Amino acid sequence: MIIKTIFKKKQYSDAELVEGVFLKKFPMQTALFEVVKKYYYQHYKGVFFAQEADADDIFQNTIITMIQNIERKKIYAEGGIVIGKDNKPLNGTLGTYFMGIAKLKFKEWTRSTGKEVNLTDMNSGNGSLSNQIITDDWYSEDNETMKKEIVSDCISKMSERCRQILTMFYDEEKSLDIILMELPSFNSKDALKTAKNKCLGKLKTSANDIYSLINK
Amino acid sequence: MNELLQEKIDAYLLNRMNESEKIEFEELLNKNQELKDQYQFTKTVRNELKDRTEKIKLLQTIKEKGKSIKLRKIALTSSAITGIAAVFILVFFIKYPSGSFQSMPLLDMEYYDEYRANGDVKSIAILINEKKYEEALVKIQEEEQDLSEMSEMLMSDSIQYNSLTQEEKARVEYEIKVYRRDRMELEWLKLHAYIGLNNKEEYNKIIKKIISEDGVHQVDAKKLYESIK
Repeated sequence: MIIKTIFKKKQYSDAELVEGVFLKKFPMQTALFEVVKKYYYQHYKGVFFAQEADADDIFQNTIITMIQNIERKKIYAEGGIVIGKDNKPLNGTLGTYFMGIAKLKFKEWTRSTGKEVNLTDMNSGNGSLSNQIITDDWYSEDNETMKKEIVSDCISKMSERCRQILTMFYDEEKSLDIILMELPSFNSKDALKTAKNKCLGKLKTSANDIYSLINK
Repeated sequence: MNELLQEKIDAYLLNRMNESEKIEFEELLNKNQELKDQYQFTKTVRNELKDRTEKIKLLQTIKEKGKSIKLRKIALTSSAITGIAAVFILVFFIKYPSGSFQSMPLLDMEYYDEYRANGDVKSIAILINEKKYEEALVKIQEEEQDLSEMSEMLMSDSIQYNSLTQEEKARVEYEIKVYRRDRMELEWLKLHAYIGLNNKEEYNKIIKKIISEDGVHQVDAKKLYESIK
């Protein structure tokens, strides 16, 4: 009992979590991670079918998007409640909101891997989740924010190899010579440069496709 | 977008241009919308990649921290359990030092129900079983005082023993028996009281005495002594 009391975790409300994550407070980021992780692994099998490793990838992409959504104020805390789309209170908990994103990520993952969509009937599986299914109006109305969100989504679903090259080049700011040494599968600097530009091109095509679809 | 222009965008974005190259690129950027769009797109990609990397690092830190907290929890739980166990062991050894009794032997109250006399002996036995050892010792001392007086009386009777009538002799013999039994009984109770108080010196002395005498508790005393040897 004493030990349990010592290790008892502080419980935060959804609004506290959102506010804390927005302010980039590490304890709140950790608490959010724990909350959604628990919810996700308890519920994902009732929403979609994926192997454990794929479910882990989907979880990672989902939580990245969720943190980005909080940081971009797509959802925010006000007066002790979480506000979402159209400045209306979030319909459900952070857990159900997270599962909504996870479902989208799963769809993206199936499309990018060419796998057949195997979504569990959400209404029969978990009624509360159906309220949070995110549709085409998922992206922000603000054009610039929307473009960022689309690119972010496209990055999350692009091939691991492309993401690796682009990350090394644009994020880690490594020169092509250095990347060539670290990725010996490329024969030459030119081949690497071509691969990098192709990855960037594919990313642009995917982003434009989504952008056009939304603005139809 | 041709590779050459993309190279320029990358060089500008990654700050790999000198000042004159930058100015030249910026002029080109203002004139060429396609280049500008590609620059904006590349910049967004770069920012989003950076953001993603930052988030992945954050998640890794959270996971690492979670693991270390888990390990710390295990370590702390083990320490807490070890600590609690140590306290229990310490308390145990303080209460029952090496060579002492691991559990206080309870007195058989049925025996005292049948015990003769005014109930004082039984009341002492009750106090001992209730762990009121100090109170029991006080009562034992009172009883011993009574016995001492009785002993003096018996001594004087014994001195005149030959001059006593048969009936008086029988009474004196009976009283001596009762005196011996009561004295032994009080010793037995005192032994338990000292065991309860963990007064090793006293209970060792008494137990050896009880064993040496041919009394009703001799066998039980031997067993007790064996358990503490």
